[in-house]
Amino acid sequence: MIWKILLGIWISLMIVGSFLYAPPALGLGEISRIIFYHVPLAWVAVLAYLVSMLNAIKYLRTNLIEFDERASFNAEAGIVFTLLATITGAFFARFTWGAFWNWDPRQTSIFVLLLIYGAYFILRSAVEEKELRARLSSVYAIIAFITVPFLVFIIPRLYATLHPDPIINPEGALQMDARMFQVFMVSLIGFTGLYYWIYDIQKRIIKVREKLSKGEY
Amino acid sequence: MSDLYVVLTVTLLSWIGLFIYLLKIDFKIKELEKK
Repeated sequence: MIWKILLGIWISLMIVGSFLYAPPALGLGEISRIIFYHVPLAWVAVLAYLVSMLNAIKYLRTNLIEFDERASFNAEAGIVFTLLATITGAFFARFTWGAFWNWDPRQTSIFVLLLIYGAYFILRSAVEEKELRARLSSVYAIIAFITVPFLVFIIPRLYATLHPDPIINPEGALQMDARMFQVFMVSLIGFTGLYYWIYDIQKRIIKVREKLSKGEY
Repeated sequence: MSDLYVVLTVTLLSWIGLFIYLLKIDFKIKELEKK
C-alpha cells in the first residue's frame, strides 16, 4: 500500500514540476510542457502492447485462460494510452503546426496502430467459443506486436516529418534542458508505476472473478 | 501566467480524482480477496 501512496505523491509532484519547475522549450513556448505527458503515455502504450504479447505467448504455452484475459486487458490499456498520446499530440500539433490532424507520418502510423489493435477486439467479439477465441486472439496479439516497433520507431523516422526530434536524436545526443529532463524522467517512472498499478488491479480482478465462477465465495 | 495555474490545477485535480478512484477499487478488491 505504501508504494501506491508514494506513487500518488510522485505523480502529483511531477505535475507541479511540469508546470512550475521545468522551463518551456525554446521556440515552442508553454505548449512544449505537453511532452511530460505525451511521451510517457506513448511509452506506456508500447509497454502494454509488449505485455499483451508476452501474455499471449504464455497462453499458447499453458492454455490457461487467465493469460488470455491479461493479454486482452493489456491490449485495451494500450489502446487507451495510445488514444491519450494521440490526443495530447494533436493539441501540440494544433498550436505548433496549425491543425489538430495533418496526416504526418507519426500521426498516420499511430492511426494504423490503433486500427490493428481495434481489429484485435473485433476478432475477439466475432468468436464465441472461449478456447478458440483465446487461441486466435493470442496468435493475433503476437503478430500485432511485431508491427509496433515499425509503426512507432522505424516508419516515422524514414520519412520527413513535422514531429520534433526524439529526446535522444540519431547522433545519440541529448537535446533537452537539464530541468526538463529531470521532470521528464520523473514522469516516465510515474506513468510506468501507474500502468503497473492498473495492471495489478486487473490481475487481481481476474483472479477474484475466477474464484467467483468456481463458487469459492 | 494565470492560465498556467489554471491548467496546473485542472491537471492536478484530474490526477487526484483518478488516484482516489484507483485506491477505492484497490480497497474493494482487497476486501473480496480476504473473504
